[in-house]
Amino acid sequence: MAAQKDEYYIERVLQGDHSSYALLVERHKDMVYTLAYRMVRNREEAEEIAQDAFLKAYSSLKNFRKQSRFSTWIYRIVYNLAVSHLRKNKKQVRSLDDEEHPLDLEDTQQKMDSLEEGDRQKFIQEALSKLSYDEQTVMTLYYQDDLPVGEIAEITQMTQSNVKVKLHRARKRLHEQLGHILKHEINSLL
Amino acid sequence: MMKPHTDPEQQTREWMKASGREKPSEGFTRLVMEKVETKKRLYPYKKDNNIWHYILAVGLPLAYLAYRYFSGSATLPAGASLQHEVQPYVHIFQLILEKVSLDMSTPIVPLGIGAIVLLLAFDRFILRSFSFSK
Repeated sequence: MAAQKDEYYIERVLQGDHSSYALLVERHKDMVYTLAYRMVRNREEAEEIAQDAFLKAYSSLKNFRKQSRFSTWIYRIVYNLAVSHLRKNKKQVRSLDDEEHPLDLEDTQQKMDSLEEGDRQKFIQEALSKLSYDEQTVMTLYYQDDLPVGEIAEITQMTQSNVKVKLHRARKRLHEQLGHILKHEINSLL
Repeated sequence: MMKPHTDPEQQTREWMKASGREKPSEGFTRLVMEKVETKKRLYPYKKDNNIWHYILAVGLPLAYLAYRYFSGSATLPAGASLQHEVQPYVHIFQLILEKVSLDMSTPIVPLGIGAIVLLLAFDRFILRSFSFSK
């Protein structure tokens, strides 16, 4: 069966076919969970937040304005829930201002290129975890889900120029962190 | 093996794609749907209220009674006249409406409304301009 657009399933749920919602959950669960996990950095909490986001979306489905995509809407819900969770638990977001390193993209690229895929994935995730939650959010949405800056601004309620600044800063920090991690790894091997 | 890029933008995209997506637990969808089912049982889904339901349920019987009342030919099962039976209730509504219109015509009512409007305008245009949390 050909995959239908989200709007089709939303319409079916609104007409009383609640099982269609499972297809929407199945379609978006990975990205919703990824976003929650990158923000709270805890698997159980991220799963709880992702579930709550889908439940909240279900309850408000009839209020869903079809001007935006369902994915944008659910990302906005999960982002808000994760931010509330972080504020409630007063989790400290690590600042990297005091550990800036000069950017050497070529060197980092060479080191990354020589790694096994599993190690490369591990180091990227480690470097990502050092970014603040909003930097991780914009990086995930922009580079991984290929969302345009306008949609990211809608999800995070930032201005478009603010999103661009965050993206630039986050990219720089990711490269710096990768360089730092790789340097540390190589030193520990020697 | 990844192809190296000179453009940091492209390189970042490739790294981010390589980092992969996180996966929730196996039964994630089932758990969400269980919660949805529980919610559905506790708060059954209601479609938007349709104005025609109200018209059919309330408006039509009232319209029928009004027609019977004003046609003057209505009789109740016991033989009593509908017009005669309903007259005291109609009279009460007439009295209430008269009282309200009399109260509304006194100067205190427009003065009171004017005061409320003035207070709202004071709050909106003067007090809020001093507020730090806009």
